[in-house]
Amino acid sequence: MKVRILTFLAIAAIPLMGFDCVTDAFTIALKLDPFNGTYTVNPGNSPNYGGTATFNPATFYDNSYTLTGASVYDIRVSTAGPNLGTCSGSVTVNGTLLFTYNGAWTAFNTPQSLLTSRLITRNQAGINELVSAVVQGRSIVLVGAGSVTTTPVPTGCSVTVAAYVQAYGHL
Amino acid sequence: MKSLRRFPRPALIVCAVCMLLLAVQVGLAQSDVEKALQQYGAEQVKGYIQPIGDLFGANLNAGFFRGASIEKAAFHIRLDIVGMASMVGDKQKTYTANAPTGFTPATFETATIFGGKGSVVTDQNTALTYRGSDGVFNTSFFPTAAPQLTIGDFFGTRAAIRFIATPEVGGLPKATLWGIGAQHSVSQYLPVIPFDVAGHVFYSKFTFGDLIDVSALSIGVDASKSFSILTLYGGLAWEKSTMKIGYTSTGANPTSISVDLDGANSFRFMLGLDLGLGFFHLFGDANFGSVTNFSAGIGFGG
Repeated sequence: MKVRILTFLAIAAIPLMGFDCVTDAFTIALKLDPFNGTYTVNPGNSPNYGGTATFNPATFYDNSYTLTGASVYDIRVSTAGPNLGTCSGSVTVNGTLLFTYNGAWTAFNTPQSLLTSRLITRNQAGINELVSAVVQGRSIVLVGAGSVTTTPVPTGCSVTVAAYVQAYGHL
Repeated sequence: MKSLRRFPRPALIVCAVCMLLLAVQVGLAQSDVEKALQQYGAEQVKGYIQPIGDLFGANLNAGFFRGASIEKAAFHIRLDIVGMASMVGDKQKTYTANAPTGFTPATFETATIFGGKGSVVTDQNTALTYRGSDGVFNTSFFPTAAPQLTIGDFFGTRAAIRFIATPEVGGLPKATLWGIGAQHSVSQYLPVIPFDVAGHVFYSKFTFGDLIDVSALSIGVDASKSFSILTLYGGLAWEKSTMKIGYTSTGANPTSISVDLDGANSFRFMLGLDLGLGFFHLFGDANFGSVTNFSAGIGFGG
């Protein structure tokens, strides 16, 4: 009888010590790759540039997660190529203005961050639309348009914009 | 197989339960934990999972001996079912994480894998926010269990072996926990000491496919004194443990991540009690170091 009692206690205790204590619906922060677009400034005398980049946000994370929220934690703009004077432009997300930027082309040769630079101005409605599209799994269309002040434009010039989004979800 | 018949059926049943517990642990590691880790790069993941390295390492270095009384030459064999549990303290529940580059403040306190809700850090200049992940395990202790066989005594030395394994099944890699060590009687050289003294060295290893590899080493001095059916035992030990975790991060450019985590414990003081009921034993001990750990179980044999 003593053996049976000891055995019962051991068998009862050990599973109780086990990990039947996983937090329900714990939220994991999903660091998504940035939504970015590179817009070539075509060589020649035209100062304007622009383009469209389309994303399916569902391809940016493990779909076994159910998203419960998202946030934009940075927007960056950079330029590549020799000095083209002043560079200014805007980016929309699904038709809503996301941000504008304006400054010396050479300043943007070093990537500028919304967090630390005064050359980028966000639009909260666009931030909200980007977050909403990520959470709802809708397509994200970034349309960029801008201009430079110095022409003719040599080859190899481009503007890259990137929106950094973090999503939250549970398994 | 013949040797297994030396032990009562209940002991073998409890061994099977240990295997089940191990399987449950590794199963969780494969699913929830691995998916959580895949969201992190090498640098970011360390703080989040460091407590696992601390607690698992402390477990592997626990529960090896129940006394220091070792004969110069005598037959000794004992099978113990050892449960080890490291306490999850407040310092295991939060860590200092890096906020995204450019954020003010640059760091923030958030939940580890044993913590509660992840914290949100707000950039002072833009009010943009960034969030840490929630903890996965809501528990006050981190358990491990293993059967252990001790055999002796030869030249004042007793060997200890731990082994438990789960096969590769259902897409889960093979999991193996093994340990080997020895105690050597010091009392035999110092007969005037009124209690038993021994030295020990133990090495343990846990592997879970290519994902997790934990090794632990303990070297120490043990002492014990028997009072009828009770044996009071204790010890001081230096120890080291290392956990290696490998996984592939998610994203457009998946990256193979390999992280080495050193366990927090480097020294422990231990005190315990063994109750001998003839062939059966009940034992428990408390271990104090950077991580507080308890081990307890039942034993069958001499």
